[in-house]
Amino acid sequence: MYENPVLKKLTYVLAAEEAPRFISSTCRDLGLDGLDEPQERMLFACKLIERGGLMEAIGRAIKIQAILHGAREP
Amino acid sequence: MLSLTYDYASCIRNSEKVTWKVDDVMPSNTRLDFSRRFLPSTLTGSDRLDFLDERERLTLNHVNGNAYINLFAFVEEYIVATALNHAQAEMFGDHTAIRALVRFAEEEIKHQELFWRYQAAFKRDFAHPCEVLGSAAAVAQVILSKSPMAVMMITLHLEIMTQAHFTESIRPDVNLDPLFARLLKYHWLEECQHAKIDALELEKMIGMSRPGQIKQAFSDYLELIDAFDGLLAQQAGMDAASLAAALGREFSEDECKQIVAAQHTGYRQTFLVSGMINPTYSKVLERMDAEGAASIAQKALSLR
Repeated sequence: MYENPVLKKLTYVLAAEEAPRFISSTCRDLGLDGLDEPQERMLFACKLIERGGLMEAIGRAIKIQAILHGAREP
Repeated sequence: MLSLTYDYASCIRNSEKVTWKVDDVMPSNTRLDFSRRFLPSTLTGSDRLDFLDERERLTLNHVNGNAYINLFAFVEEYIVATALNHAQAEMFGDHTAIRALVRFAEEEIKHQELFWRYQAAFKRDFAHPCEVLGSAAAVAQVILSKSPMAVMMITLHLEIMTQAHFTESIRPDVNLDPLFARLLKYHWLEECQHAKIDALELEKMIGMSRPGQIKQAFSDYLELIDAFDGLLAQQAGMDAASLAAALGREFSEDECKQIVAAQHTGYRQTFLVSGMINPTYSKVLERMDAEGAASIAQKALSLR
């Protein structure tokens, strides 16, 4: 089984302690139960893109990866 | 899963070992020699045409060779876009994968440059108009509109098929034009890594796939095969016109139909069937979905 790609990217950028907290809080804001589905990762990515800067760059990578895994533009 | 025996790091190492420059493979002032065949008979349809003499078959072989090179430059357009998409998806993740994918894209652009240089030389030295498929970007749009897994399946098909063309048909034939064979040798050297990277990407996509996605990918792949077949039929029609112009000969309606049919059959075998039934590719398909693999084997039979 593959590691969640969002957690992997955010752990690289924010460190292992902060990444899960950031994911939980962003998912809560979006009303998402988790990031198992490509479409959930797409919505998460779009939220990051809105923030600009580094988060936008990470969001774009997550968005393209979600599309490769079967997500559609919201 | 696909049980692959290589990784991104080994692909980069191999790529660094075999890398080459366009100018070393084909200097910009290279003149083409039309005294020898460009393609082996296993990759053409001209042997079926009894009403052509040896000189006319040789000319058709050259027309065929030019179209063969164009078709590679053609599909590399969408492959570059695909490799860069996959590289961007890995940003902030697997840096070795990013490096392998960016290198893959750079090599494909280099192959396009090499093939375009060859085509320019062909246009200059062949001395007759020789029409080939255009609008690579429009075809890239059709391919990239399908599910990403199907796009990677057709890409793996093309890369594995390219290798088989060289190792099974071009390398053993010592009577081919040396420049043409050299172009395809250097192309092959880098395509070996590309096929492995395709398989690594496909494996990741399978690992992350949701129910139904693999079945959808097989269905999309078959649609792409049909779309590709339509393009090959168009190229076959262009070849008949190019041959008539190059020979200054008017073919009867029946002869013209035979040329188009032979060329189309040759292209189908070369670009579609040989990939679809390639043992390495078939093994990947069977590991993805046995039923889907069977449907592709059936489709290959119908194209023969």
